[in-house]
Amino acid sequence: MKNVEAGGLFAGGKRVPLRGVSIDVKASGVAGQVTVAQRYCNEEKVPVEAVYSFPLQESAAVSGFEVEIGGRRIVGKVEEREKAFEQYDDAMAQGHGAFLVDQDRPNIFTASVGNLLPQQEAIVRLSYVTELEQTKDSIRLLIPTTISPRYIPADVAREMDPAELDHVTPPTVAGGVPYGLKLSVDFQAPCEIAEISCPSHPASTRLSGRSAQVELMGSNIQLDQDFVLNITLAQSHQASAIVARDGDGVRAAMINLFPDLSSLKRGPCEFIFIVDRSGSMGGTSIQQARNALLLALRSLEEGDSFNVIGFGDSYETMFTKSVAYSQSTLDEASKKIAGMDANLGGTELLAPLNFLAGSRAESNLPRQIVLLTDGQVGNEAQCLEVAAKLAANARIFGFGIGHGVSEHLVRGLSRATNGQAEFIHPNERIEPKVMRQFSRMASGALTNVRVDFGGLKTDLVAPAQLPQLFDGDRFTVYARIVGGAANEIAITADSPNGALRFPVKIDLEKPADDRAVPVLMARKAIQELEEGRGGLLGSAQSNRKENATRSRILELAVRYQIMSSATSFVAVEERQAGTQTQAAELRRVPVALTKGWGAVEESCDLSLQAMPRMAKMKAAFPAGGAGMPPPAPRAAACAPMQAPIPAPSSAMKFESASESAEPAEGSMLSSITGFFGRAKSAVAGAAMPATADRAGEPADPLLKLTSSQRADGSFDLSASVLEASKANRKKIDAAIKQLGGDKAQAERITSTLLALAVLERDFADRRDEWKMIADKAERWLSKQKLPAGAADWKSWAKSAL
Amino acid sequence: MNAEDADAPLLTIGQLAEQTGVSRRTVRYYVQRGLIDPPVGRGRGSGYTAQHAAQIQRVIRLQREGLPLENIAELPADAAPIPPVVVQPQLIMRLPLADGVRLELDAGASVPDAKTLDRLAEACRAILSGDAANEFNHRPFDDGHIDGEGTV
Repeated sequence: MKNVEAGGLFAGGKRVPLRGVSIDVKASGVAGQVTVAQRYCNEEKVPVEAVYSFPLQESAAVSGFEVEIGGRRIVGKVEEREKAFEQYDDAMAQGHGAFLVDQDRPNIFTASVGNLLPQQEAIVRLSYVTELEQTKDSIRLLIPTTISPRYIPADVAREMDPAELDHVTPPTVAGGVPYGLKLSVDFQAPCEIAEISCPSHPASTRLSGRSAQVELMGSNIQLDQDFVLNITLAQSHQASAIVARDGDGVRAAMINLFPDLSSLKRGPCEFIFIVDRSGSMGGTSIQQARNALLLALRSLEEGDSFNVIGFGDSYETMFTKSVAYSQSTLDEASKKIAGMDANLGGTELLAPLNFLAGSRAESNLPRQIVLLTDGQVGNEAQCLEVAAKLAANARIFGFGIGHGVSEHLVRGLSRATNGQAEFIHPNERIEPKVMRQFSRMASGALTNVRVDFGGLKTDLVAPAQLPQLFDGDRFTVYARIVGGAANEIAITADSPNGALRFPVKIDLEKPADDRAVPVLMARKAIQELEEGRGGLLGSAQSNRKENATRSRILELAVRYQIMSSATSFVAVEERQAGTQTQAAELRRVPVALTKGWGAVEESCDLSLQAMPRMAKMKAAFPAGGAGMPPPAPRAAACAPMQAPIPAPSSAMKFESASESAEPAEGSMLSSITGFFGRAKSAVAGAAMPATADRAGEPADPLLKLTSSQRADGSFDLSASVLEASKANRKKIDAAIKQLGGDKAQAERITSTLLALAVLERDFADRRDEWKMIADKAERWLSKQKLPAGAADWKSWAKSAL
Repeated sequence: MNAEDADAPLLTIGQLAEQTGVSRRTVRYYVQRGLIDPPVGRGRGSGYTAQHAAQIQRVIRLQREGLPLENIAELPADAAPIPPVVVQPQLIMRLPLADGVRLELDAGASVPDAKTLDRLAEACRAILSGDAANEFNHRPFDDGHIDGEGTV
């Protein structure tokens, strides 16, 4: 990338001024306290300005910023975004040390470390609080570490503030970056911890009773994928109301509820599955999407209707219109899904969302949109805006797939439509997540969710528009309590079975001296304002449009001293005049390409020898927006790519992030652009090993068994059932004979009985993954005429195994 | 810079941003990328001129015309205007009508409603199965748009 080299940002032997990143998490109860430390060092002979864009959790309430430099500790403060930049820029011009952190997206931040003198070192520390993701008895911690290349439509890129565009599309390297990650988690649970696992990284874990310490293992760990930690507790989460003192002595409360809604049943629905088939999904991501989709399809019931939309820079529907769920449509869809590839180029998510916003479910069934994506788009705000329109008659249940998914987009879309999001790391099992999403859909029957504050007076409730209640999922609402008295708050809702009421005890007498609750409350209120407004906050264009929403965000953010789209953190280190004699040169810190992104890494392993070392790809886009991922689709339409393959060089192979590693110029992924092109990616194709699941034969025995279930819930007497049951064929044949009637029907009854018995016998520990499948089979069985009672036949099946 | 400008008072970065309708961040970004000249002077006395404003306006114009910033930086300041890039309509939607037959709709085209699409699909299936004459005789299109075309 010429501009990058011309700017001296990275190539040409310049050392990357960022030396390492260290993340410390302290989590207990319902919230986590995270500190991110970035160590910068200028090893050049000229002063530099290091600019580093990095991701944080989208719910992060960033409330602390300090810099350690030359033995001094400088504490930053929150200012209006433009004012903060002015202070920073003025300090830079006067030769002072200047430090700035901007929020470019709710999950993308940029640190500018200005006037770092030769040999000078600075440690920048950001601290934030975040809600923990809790469901039933589990907790999930997801910490992003890199910014995946994202697709920005041409018209959006052209209108964006170039500085903002530069921040959200940082230079990306596939060969590893010369700074590494340290990460540790200290977790204190309210009860015994039953299990803890880290599917993303090798990690050492010390577990004792209620506490666990986790640390990443090894040195020079790359910041190239999300850190994921799953914790299972011995008991389910309990409802709670945490009261803390707000700055002015007023009390702020965080009310947490984990409702039991297992009695709710889902009625017939129209399901629209939207599958991201853009280039970035290549490799494991599209495989996971296919598997999740196949599994989801099998979770539908007779009476439902469905359609599948694949999107890239164009989108296509599987059926002309939604079709009724039946054996033939299930078979047809399964066949087509097995052949789905990540070959549709860019990520124009907006087009299918717009299409859905303009069309209603024909049969007036409630519409459930199941979205499978890595979420790597740059026009999040527009997508959220359309989602808000969709909310009137549809809900989005998002699946974020891959090593570095955009949490903000997937959660945001789900939140905007009263749906829920799940994230699937490549090393995680899909089944429980798909099942959980489907069981959440029963909540569609709930209406009118409210909070009954009893005698309490509040002047702020966040979010003001209450979210949906889901079975076992954490439901959280914050309130600033300005008066009144009560010892109980209740969440209420209307259900088909009558009014529901979930009381939560509250003790206002002993407010904790905990800043986390007020800060989280402010962040939640700001998040709602940022998303409700729907504009491109952060861009110069909308910054100038001072309106009520922005002033409210500013007011909250300044008062609670947290970052937002309207505020930045700034710190200045006053230096004596004459310390600096020349202007600082910009050094844009490159980020690591997300592991597995667009199957780049897999392709490297496969085709290393075939590819020339350090081959450089010229992006085949003559036109388009600024920054990295250019507006591929339109450009691609007028200039079909000759060889749109990012040339995997040996530099792309995963290398250790040793201190001396000098990223090779050729590894700068100018070629990432190729992935958003229309042309079918040969690399992705090559990287796609003919895995078992690709050939239609799932590797997981449970998946293998359940995929032989028919649309009506019954099981065919297939090889997979026979194999899994290991039952004696003679016994089976005898049973079929005894059942009598139509032979095919008798076979199905036998097979269904066997399948249910196998699930109980072999997969009892994975009940949450197959419960829905078993329920469907049971319902089918109950409609069959069995000569003796169903119970007898069930015990026959058990004994036959 | 010409002699005339030399006497004019320097603009602060804030004034330049205001005048050109971009943010301060953008002005700085343009300077760092070599898209516009660095400010005149250093430290407190530094500033910008009308020529900087003209340079910014040029960058914005070229960017709007679809030229990537990296190309703008390479372009001589007095280069002839670039003809606008021809953008082909982007394919936005593909619908299956029958086996191996798809309907493609371009950007800007309004998507027909589900009922129309449904009839279109049925007609296609009928034509493809060689059954068209019968199909149309028995199920004429009520809006009469393809009257007379039914007999193949």
